Amino acid sequence: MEINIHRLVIGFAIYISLVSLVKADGLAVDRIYAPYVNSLEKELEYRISSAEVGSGASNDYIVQRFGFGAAVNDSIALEAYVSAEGEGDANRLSGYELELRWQLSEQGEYAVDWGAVFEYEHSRDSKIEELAGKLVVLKEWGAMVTTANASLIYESSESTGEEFETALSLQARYRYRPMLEPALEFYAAEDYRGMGPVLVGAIRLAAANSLRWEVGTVFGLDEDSADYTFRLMLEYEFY
Amino acid sequence: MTKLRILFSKNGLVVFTLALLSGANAYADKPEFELAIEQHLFEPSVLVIPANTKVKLWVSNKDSTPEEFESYELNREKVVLGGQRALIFIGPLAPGEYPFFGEFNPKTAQGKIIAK
Repeated sequence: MEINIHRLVIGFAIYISLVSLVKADGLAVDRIYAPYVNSLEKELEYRISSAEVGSGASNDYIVQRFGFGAAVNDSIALEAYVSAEGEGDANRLSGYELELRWQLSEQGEYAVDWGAVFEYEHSRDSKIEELAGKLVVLKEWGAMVTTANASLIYESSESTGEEFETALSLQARYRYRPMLEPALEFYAAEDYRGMGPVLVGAIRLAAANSLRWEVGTVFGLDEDSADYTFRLMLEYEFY
Repeated sequence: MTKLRILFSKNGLVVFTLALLSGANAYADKPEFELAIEQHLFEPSVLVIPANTKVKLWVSNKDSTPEEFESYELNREKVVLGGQRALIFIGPLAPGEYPFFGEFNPKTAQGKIIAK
């Protein structure tokens, strides 16, 4: 993959640096992406994040997503989600999301592995359109894997107008065994700082299929942040 | 060497400082090894590589069906389409044995890399 990674990273860094306020509506605690795409891979994905009790955050705010994705080739994957979100419950469809994941370097090719994620999100209930670009950086330290997702988000809303937001999420994961990889995650966005433990694992099923999960609770680090946010991801990968 | 420093302040300022991005082709001259997939078998099934050295592993799939080179121990997972060749970067590895297998034919496609 011949990509001018230097220019891409520097451009992204300058762009995100110009946006001085870290700001992201909704729930910052969500999946942290790895930069890899595998040819032929398809997946069904379910995610839920539920934030509980925070003086500056929505109480008991739930976001659910269900998606289907497929790799286009060995570097690009597309995924479409439907989402449901709300206070107290999230049982009705409230929007959809389209996602493009782009693997920028081969695993282990450079000192760190690079990827990017681009998202378009439409929220029907709150009439919000959102475009997001996310730089994904992963570094292996033996059995320890650290991942950073840095996001620049453009949001257009009937209530708040247009704005740019930024967010940062970090994960340190120990590859103990395939079914159990303990991790520590950190999230930062506007009015939110959180950190907490997450368990990651995968089980191999028949016919090269697998089920991957991530489950954890992230605790708010200041009074503006939700006291704790539960998150769960189930991903069924198949070919 | 690639360095990316992320500074993050409490008031929400995110600043990426890129200290140095150079030497992206640092692994261009690393040792190369070949592995073939034929009739759902890896050939050779045992590959010896130097320990503590990053290597390039070319995997050629001579079958008409795809195969996935997979190894939890190596932390690598790569689909190689039928009749095609893929490059996998491995290591640097501590001395030892690192099993791998073909996810689409796990009963037959098995092998290991020995780093020494």
